[in-house]
Amino acid sequence: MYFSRFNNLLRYIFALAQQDFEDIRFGDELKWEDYKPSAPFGRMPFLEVDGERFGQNGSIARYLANAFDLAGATDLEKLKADGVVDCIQKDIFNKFLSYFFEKVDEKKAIIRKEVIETTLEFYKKIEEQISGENTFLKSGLSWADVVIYNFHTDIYADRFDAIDLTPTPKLELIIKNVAQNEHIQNWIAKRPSTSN
Amino acid sequence: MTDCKLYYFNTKGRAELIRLLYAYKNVKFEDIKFDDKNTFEDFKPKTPFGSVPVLEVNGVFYAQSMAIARYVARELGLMGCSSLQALKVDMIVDAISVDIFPHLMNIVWGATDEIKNAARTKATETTKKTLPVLEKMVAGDYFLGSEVTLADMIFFRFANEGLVALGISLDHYPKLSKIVKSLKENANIKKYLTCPTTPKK
Repeated sequence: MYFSRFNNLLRYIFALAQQDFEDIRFGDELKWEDYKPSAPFGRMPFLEVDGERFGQNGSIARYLANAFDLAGATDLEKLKADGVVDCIQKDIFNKFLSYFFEKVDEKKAIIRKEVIETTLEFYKKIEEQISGENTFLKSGLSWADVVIYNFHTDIYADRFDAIDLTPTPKLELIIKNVAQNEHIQNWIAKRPSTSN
Repeated sequence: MTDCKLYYFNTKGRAELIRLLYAYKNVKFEDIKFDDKNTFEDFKPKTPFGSVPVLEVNGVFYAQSMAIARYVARELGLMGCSSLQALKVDMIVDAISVDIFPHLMNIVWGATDEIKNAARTKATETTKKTLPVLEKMVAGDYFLGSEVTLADMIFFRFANEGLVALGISLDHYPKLSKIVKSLKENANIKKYLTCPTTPKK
């Protein structure tokens, strides 16, 4: 279920770009089993463009970000955005996965502390990489900001002790900037209330 | 192309894909490998996120092996000619680097035997499900058709190490086998792989 929170990322990108899209949610009416064979890697999400289907959440996000001018202004900015996205989705999220998959309570408690420490440690490193006033990239809002917001607000929050963002003021500004974005707020207000 | 410096250990690991891209296109770059005099520990404070490989471009350090690989591939014209082509390359790259590679790493670096064994099982299962999907995605001599892209290069890496480690053959996958064979026979790649400074492991 937490994986569908990661999938908010794609919907946030569409919302920010004010682009219409067919948000096809599987559930009681639309059965995933019927569509699974035609999903490129047999998994959600997948994107359909002009009849062709593409899988892999990260790749789809990057494609949409580029299509909507949310990827960075230069190739080096794109490299920088890709770097922080990977830092969050791989380096930090891997710790999360080891927490979620741990069955033994004592070990889980230890990993839980490690998740919080790891997140804090990376937040400080990300803080030093921020080049904009309230955006990760100097050129302005990008999917890097959305990934940061999505991670902090949808994936980390509710599950772990709140992180004090005082040591990372620029990061806090990024998160607020996305949270206060009117298109994001509009979409959050309108979105179907499936459990995640 | 701007002068780039790549920093990593003297091993293949997460840097080899990037080195292969440069080698394939015969483009020069500074391939810096840590040693006793210039250690990773010395370099670590300069890295964006405490890890390597790192690419230095115009005095700025950039991290994350796949982000760097995509950047270098784009600079070298190995990401296709349109954004949809780039998406196709990206999803094939992710199918290997996101779905399979982490488990391959855990086979070697997992903290316990239990973790290592679970990783081997997961890597094997995922690979067996993914290979037929990738076979169907090959549009010509290479994934996109006639041109080599990052997708072919990462598959080449995967075939030479990952598939060997898992004991999985490409006998039932003629198109994928052909990609590997063609890149193996490529003059620039041959030259790189036989060069004495290429890491053996």
